[in-house]
Amino acid sequence: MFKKLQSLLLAFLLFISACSLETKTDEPVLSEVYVMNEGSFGNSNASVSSYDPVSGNVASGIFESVNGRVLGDVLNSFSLIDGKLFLVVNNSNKIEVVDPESFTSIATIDIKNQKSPRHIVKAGEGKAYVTNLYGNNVSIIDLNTYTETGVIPVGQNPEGIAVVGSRAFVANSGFGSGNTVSVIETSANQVIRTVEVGDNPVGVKVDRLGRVWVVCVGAYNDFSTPDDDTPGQIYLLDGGSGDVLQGLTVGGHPGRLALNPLNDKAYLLNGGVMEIDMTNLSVTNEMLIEGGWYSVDVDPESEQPSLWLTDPKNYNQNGEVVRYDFEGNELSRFSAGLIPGGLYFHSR
Amino acid sequence: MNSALATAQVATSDTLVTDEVTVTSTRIHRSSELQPVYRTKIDSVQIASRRGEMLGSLLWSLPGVHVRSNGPGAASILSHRGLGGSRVSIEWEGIPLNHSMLGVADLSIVSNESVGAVDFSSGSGSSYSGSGIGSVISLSSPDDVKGLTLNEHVNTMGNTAVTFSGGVAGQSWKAFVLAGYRKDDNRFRYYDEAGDQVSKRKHAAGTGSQLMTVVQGRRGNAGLKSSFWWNKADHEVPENIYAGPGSAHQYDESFRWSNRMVLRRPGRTVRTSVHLSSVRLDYFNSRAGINSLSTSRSIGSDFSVSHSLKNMTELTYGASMDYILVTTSNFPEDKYRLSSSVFVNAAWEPLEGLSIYPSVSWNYFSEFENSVTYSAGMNYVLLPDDLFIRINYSGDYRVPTFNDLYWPDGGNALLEPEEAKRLEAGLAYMKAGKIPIRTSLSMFYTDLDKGIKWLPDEGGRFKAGNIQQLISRGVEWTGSTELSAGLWKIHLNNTITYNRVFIDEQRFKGDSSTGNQLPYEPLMSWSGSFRFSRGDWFAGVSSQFAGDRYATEEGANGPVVDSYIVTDLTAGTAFDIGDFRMLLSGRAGNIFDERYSAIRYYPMPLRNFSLNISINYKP
Repeated sequence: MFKKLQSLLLAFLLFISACSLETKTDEPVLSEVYVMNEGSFGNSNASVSSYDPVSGNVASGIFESVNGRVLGDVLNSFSLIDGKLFLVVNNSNKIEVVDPESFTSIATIDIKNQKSPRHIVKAGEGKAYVTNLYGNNVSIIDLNTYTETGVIPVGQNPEGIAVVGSRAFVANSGFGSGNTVSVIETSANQVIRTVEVGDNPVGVKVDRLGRVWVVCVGAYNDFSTPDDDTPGQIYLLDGGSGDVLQGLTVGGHPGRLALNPLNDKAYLLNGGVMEIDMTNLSVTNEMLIEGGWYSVDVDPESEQPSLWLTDPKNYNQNGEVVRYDFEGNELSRFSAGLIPGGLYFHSR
Repeated sequence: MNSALATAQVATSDTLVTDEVTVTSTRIHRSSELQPVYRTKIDSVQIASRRGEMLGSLLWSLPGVHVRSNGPGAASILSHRGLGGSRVSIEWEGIPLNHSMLGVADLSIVSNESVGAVDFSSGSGSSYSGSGIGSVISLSSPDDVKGLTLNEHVNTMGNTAVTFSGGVAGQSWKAFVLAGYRKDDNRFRYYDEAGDQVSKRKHAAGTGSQLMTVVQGRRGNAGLKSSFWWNKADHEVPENIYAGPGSAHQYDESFRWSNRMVLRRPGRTVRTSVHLSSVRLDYFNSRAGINSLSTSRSIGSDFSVSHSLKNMTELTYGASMDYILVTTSNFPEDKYRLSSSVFVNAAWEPLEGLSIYPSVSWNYFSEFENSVTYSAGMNYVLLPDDLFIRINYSGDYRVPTFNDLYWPDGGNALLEPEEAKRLEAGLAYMKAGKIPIRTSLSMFYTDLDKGIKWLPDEGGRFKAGNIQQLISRGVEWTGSTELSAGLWKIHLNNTITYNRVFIDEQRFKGDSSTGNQLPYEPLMSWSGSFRFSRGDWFAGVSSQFAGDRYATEEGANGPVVDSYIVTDLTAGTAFDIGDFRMLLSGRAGNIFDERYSAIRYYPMPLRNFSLNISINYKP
């Protein structure tokens, strides 16, 4: 009986594997990794590099070479919306919309009144939201006309933003003094709730369960006195109600966060790479990978999912991108541009 | 020629026929050719020809100097021999213009009308000049104008400057007052390299006001000079052309009061100075909600005695003391620095034509350990009155700025002073006569240790550290001559600099900048001018060249700011109307429409024009 069961189980597993393999071959293959190089503030040297993971070749300055003009000052973030890449150029107060295949420019969205845009996210059909660091609001972007049609006041110095269903979650950093997340009902373009979280909320991500992860950097208070700093924290919010589900004090002053749905691990930059179990919100490895990394990304949909870290070096010379497996072993590395701050994995 | 200004415009260049006996950029009280380092002055003709412009336009003609201007109306910082603005000491009547918090002097807020003379020394060492590793640029107040002069300057960028000055003199005294106001639109045509089009620059408008008084007197063997200068500037801070228009404003207000006294007795000279200054900076960025307010107040004094001994030996000893108090919204509390030094140096001539210049100083700083600095120089006359060889070696230091030490986010109170070993050697050829020739060749080598640099820590937060090892080496050549025939006078001046400056040691793991030329420091630069005059008419052409510069520490692997050569034309005439002496001059700037910038994406103006009218009345 036991042997029969074993045989059945084996046959089932083989079937599943065959299905998986078959599915795998149909999946798009990672063809390019676009590196979003922030550039240094005030120097208009933001750029995008393209890395071919097969050949290892790197092409730099692809926006300029394709479109014949400078990208702008500080490429703060990007987002793929309706198959187009939206590049948020912070100190140029604009968003460049490009075709991810060719990188040709589709549109340029001007953010009025120098509000210093930080992040963009799709917020319903034909609409996107942009957080404005100096505007203390969120711009509403019409994705049909590529224009700013209005603003929604939120808290002080908003940074990260994410959308779950019809709710947008905005981290109000207050330049270190904030501790709230504004919840916007996207159908009404109105803040319906303000949730208290840890000090200095900056990053917002959504996991596969629809939970909102808020990275709270912690307050510096008097910069000259490290003793009065408050520790970094992760807050988990319910994507529907906005209720705080759980909190985790991670210490230090964390930076970027990447979520890996394949192993339910989160990777947080906090003086190195910290590994967090997403199922029970606990730190499983305080220092998975050492280093002064600037950004962390996971490519769950590629053939060999891995951790991609960017090293800005001293912010005045070209940085590097280093690829690791989830055990923390280095796989490969390549040169990027000035202050590489995020990766977009383009598959064909 | 009644007007000093007009006189200056058409006169013979005064660096060729006379030489200042009073040395202000070094403590070696000898003429330029006998110094152990390169020294020169910018003459009154050059200063007069740059009326209405800001100080950076004057200083680029100095060898080894590269002015990093962010464009008209924007910050302008000078670097010498690749060592950056904070390592060059710029002073006015002995008062430092380098800001105590920033370390640099912003040349964009000092107009050329404020300057009577520029005395430049490549720097004989900290044992002479105190904290500093680079050159010393010493500015004197203008004090030679007699009568009343009204000067008006306008240009095609929408800038206007009006200066009123007057001077009176008695047998043993003279007094001078200058009041000026300028309003600058700084709207100019520039080339947008990315858009491949000509655009118009704006967002750099500003105003400036100044008042200066200078009183000098002599009684017996004693002389006194008291100079007061109030200067105010209010200007927009422009962003680069691909960023937003900018929303920052800066208000600068300063006053400086210098009192210098010389007492000459047989065999000895006593020099003393006391100065007071207050510099207020108010940076306001409405968009970012940043208001940075700081006031730096200082009081300083200097005392030295020079003895003339046998064998043409001069022995100088003395002491100096400075106290700086910084009050700023950026620091949680006031910060101060008390510094003093005791020094002794000699000019010893053991053999005819051979001068030895040893120097040592003991330095005290309230924040740092005491230090001893030294210098040893030599000058030898190879051909009497004509050919001179010089060499100087010094151990120097530069103390960190207040921001380096105390900036709340990243300042490092444990910083130590930068240290440098500097070697300079050169030849000077001075041929007097009907066709005077003055030429010099200098070679220099600087090894900077504990260089202060802000680098990110593991968390990405920038912090100041003594982590940079720099090497700067190069060659400078200068040459000038003058021809006279009847009413005609022709003057030629040239300067060529080769300067290799780079980071010598890795500062962190993966540092790929080692060996690369430092950002914005040209390997080659050149400046030249050709002036001629006939009677009351004059004209001239001047050019400056800067080679390719790198915008990041990547060197040639990163973005390159293209080399440029910019040429200006000047012409004018002086004439009398009754008791008034008129000077009318015009300038065509960048006549070949060179598309250039000193800092990437901060373009400089294409062709532009200016007009200067000066009316002098001498009762």
